[in-house]
Amino acid sequence: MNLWGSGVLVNGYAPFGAYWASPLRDYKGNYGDMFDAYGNFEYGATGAADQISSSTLTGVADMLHLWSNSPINTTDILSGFNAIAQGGTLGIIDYNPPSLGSCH
Amino acid sequence: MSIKKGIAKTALTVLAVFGALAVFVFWKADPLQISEPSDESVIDLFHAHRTEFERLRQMVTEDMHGKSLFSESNLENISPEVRRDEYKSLLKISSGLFVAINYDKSVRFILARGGLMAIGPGWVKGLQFLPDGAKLLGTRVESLDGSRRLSAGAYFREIEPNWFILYQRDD
Repeated sequence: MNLWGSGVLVNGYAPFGAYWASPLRDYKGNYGDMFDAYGNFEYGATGAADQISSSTLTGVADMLHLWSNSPINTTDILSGFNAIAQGGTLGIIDYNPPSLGSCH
Repeated sequence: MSIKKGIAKTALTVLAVFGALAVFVFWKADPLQISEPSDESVIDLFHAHRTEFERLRQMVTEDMHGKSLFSESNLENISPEVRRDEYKSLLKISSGLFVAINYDKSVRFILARGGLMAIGPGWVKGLQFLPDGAKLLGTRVESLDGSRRLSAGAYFREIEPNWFILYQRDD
C-alpha cells in the first residue's frame, strides 16, 4: 500500500490495473474465500493512495461483476479507501488467530 | 478513393486492436474454464511429484513467518541462495505454480486460475494440503470435473488423507 503515492511505483490507471490483475493479489484464490474482504479493503486503500476516486474504484469492481457486485464488497472497498483518504496509515502486527476447530 | 482506403484501414486497425484486446480479456478471464485441468491430470501430477509437493509444503511451512506466497516470480527475501534455487527447481513441477500457506498451515498449490482482476469473479484449481486438526473450509465432493456447474464456493476431492484436489469459484 505504501508503494502507491510514494514515487516507488508509477501511479495511474494502467499500472494500478496491472497490479491488481496479478495473481499475487488474488488473495481469495490463493488463500481462500475468507480473504475476499481483505483484498477489497486493500484495493480501496491502494486506490486512494494512487489518487483514484472511490466511484471509479467501486465502478470498476461493479463492472467486473457485470453490474451486480455485492454491497458487502463495495463497503469493504470504501472502508479501505476511506482509511487512507482520511489520512490514516496501515500497519501490520503479529497475530495468532484462534483455532477454527478440528472437524476434518 | 484514397480517403475511403484510409478510413477502411483505420477501421480495420481499430477492429484488430479491439479484437486482440477481447481475445486477451477472454483468455485471462477464462469464464469457460478452458484451462482447467481434469481431476485425473491433477491426481497424476500429484503422484508423479509426490516427493516434490511434500518438500515444498515442508519448506513453505518453515518460511511462513516471513512469507506466505511462493512462485517463480515471487522469491525475493528467500535466503540463502541455495534455498531460493531449490524453490525455483521445485516450482517447475507445473508452469505458473503458486504455493500459498495459511495461518493454520494448510497449503494451496494453485495449478490453474481464471479471472481478470483480484477483486472480480474468478476460479482456481489445484491441490490443497490440510494438516491434522485443521478445518476443511468448503464442501467435499466425489468429482471436480465439470465444476462449472457448481455454485460459487470452495470444493474438495480427497486424494489421500490430508491431500485434496481444490476447486474454488467466486462470482
